[in-house]
Amino acid sequence: MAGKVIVALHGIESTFTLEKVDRARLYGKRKRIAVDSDGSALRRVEVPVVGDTVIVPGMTAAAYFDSAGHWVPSDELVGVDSSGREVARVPSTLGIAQELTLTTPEALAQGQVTGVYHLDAIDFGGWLEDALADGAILSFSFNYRAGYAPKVAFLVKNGAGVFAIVTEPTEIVWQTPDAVVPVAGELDFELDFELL
Amino acid sequence: MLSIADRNGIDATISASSLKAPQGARRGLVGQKTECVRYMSCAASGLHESLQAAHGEDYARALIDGDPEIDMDVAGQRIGATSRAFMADSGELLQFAPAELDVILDATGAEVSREPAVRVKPNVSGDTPAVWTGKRMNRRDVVRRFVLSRTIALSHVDGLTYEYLYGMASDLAASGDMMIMGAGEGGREALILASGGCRYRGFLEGRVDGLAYVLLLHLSNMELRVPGKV
Repeated sequence: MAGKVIVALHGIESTFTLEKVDRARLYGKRKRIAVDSDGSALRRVEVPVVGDTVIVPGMTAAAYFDSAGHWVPSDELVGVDSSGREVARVPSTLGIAQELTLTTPEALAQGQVTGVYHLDAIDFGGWLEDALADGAILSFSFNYRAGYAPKVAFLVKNGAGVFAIVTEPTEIVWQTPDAVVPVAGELDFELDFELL
Repeated sequence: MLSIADRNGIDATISASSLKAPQGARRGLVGQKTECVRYMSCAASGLHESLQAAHGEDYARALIDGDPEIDMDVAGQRIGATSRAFMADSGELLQFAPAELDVILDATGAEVSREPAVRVKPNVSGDTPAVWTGKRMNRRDVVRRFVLSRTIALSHVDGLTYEYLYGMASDLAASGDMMIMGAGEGGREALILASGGCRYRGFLEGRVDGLAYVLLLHLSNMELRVPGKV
């Protein structure tokens, strides 16, 4: 069964189906291919810097290894932060009601967008539909699938429908003036040209 | 660095950096160093086409009986740095850079046309700064109509550019609007910031707090709308 987005505003739930939206589905796309002198498509391969094996797609795999060179099975791997501490896995939020919080255009604008979904309302609860129509922007936790980095989605509405814009939070740095050079007041010393 | 011009056409070259989310958790083991390694899983003789040619359409029994897909001289070798190359159907590696074509696909994925690839050049530089178009949009309307897929944080490099950018930020903060930025005369062209880069519409947002400011150039190449509907 396809996942549903369930959000709650003042304790009243609304439920949506979701459809991913991307630029290719709106406008089409341009795909670049390499061709030979006859116009036939060429295959992209890799050649090691050291060695002479030509690597074509299908010849490689990837796995995790520890410092002793032993393979680590996937089910033994956990999420680890930059300090080496374990990070809890965050489950998918699909089908689980997430609380909505009123937020600002600035918060949405500064998030790093990772995905956009068009939401089709199965059930609009309470004041949510009116709030969105009035231009409200609301945020909620959103993880399409389980992972280690909880994402923030923003619920908005425009003339085309309701959308969830999924972002990862960023940190902006306020710019301040650099150390100010002291401004000289009245000339309080003699100009001594003998020293020049 | 980025060149921009304000509403009076006064231009400056300022510092610019992409606003990105901090790197999150990665997969590993607590207290142990782990690394994700690419390695050779088979030689060319282990690929589907080769196995089919050697053992027939249904080669499953051959795989079970003899492991013909495993080349012990190759399997398990770590892959280090590699270079990209191109191979023709004959198996011959090209010794020179190939020609490139752009295949244009419509929104359904169907091919529409093919044309020689052209590497677009950046249209923002010291001589041709990103310019204010004079058109403003309320911030709330911008974020509800467009996907702001990239953001560049602008910052000053000296006292003069501090005054310049602070003035811009104050102007935009006071109105609560974003200024639409573009390239070329009147800002009519989309912004192309790097060679081969995407075309974007720019939306400049400013915030101030005392003597501090934030000036963000949000870039968008996508409207918020439903596929298949105008």
